Amino acid sequence: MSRRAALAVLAAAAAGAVAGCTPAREQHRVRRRHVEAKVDPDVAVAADALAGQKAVLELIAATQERHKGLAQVLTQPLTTQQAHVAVLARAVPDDVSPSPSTSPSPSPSGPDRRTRVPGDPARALQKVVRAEQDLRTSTKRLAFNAESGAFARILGSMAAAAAQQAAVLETARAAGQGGS
Amino acid sequence: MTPLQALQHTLAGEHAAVYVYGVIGARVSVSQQPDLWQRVGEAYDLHRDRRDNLTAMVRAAGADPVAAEVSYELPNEARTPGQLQQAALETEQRCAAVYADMVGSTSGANRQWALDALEDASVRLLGFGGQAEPFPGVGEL
Repeated sequence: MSRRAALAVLAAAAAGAVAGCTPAREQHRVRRRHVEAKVDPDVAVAADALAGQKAVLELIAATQERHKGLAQVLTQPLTTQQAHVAVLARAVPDDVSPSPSTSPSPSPSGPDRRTRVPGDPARALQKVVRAEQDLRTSTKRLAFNAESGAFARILGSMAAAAAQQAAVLETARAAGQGGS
Repeated sequence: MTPLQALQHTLAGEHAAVYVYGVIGARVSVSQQPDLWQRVGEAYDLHRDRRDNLTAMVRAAGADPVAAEVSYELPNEARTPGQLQQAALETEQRCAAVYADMVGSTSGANRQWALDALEDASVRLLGFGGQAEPFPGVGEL
């Protein structure tokens, strides 16, 4: 399957959500529902996947910014997250939000805890490892639930990529690249 | 590809993997490449178990499991330590692609099996000198 075809699967799901056939008499009732209720199930899955990928991308970028010594080891995970976000973003219409369980909740006391970077480089690297492990788990769950087989295949690959990044970063952490 | 075809396709891939790892394992020196020897042995055991899993899954789907070929073409000459490691790496990469296809053609427990196998192969290939990539098993992205 070509990249274009793979994206077409996602785009088609998105288009279905936007241009769904809703009779006029139903529109008022539909408007009252939560936005998720009229979104194609796979677009909702894509929105959740995108939120998870973005959160880890932000954490990696923030960690690179705070700990210059970790910049090199985090370059590949950053590139991977950017690739995943780019693919998923094209499948999610602007007006579709992730489910409440996956969207970051703003904190009154500062930045989201998930993107707060520990001051100790070793702990900061460990936090990225855990974030990749969590992303692997959540993305696998989304792949399991996806209705489109082609979309499930891409999500499964993204989950495997997160597992790879977690393994590579854990090796680097164990080798002391995170410092003391 | 139907779910049953996906199972048979993956089983055929496991037959090949078991064969290739059998050859590699016989050629790796336990004294000179103990780490590679151990990794190859673990991979052989794992793929043999997966072959047996898939055989049962195909039978559960009401079909006759596809049989193994008499022999398979190795990814390379598989003579030097470098070639042996490369052969193992390519075997895992090919398996990852097959598992990804199975993810896309199955659902429920069979899809979960394929997701777990895809993740394992993607991490296992790192131990054979492979590099992490954004879309393991999905070559066109």
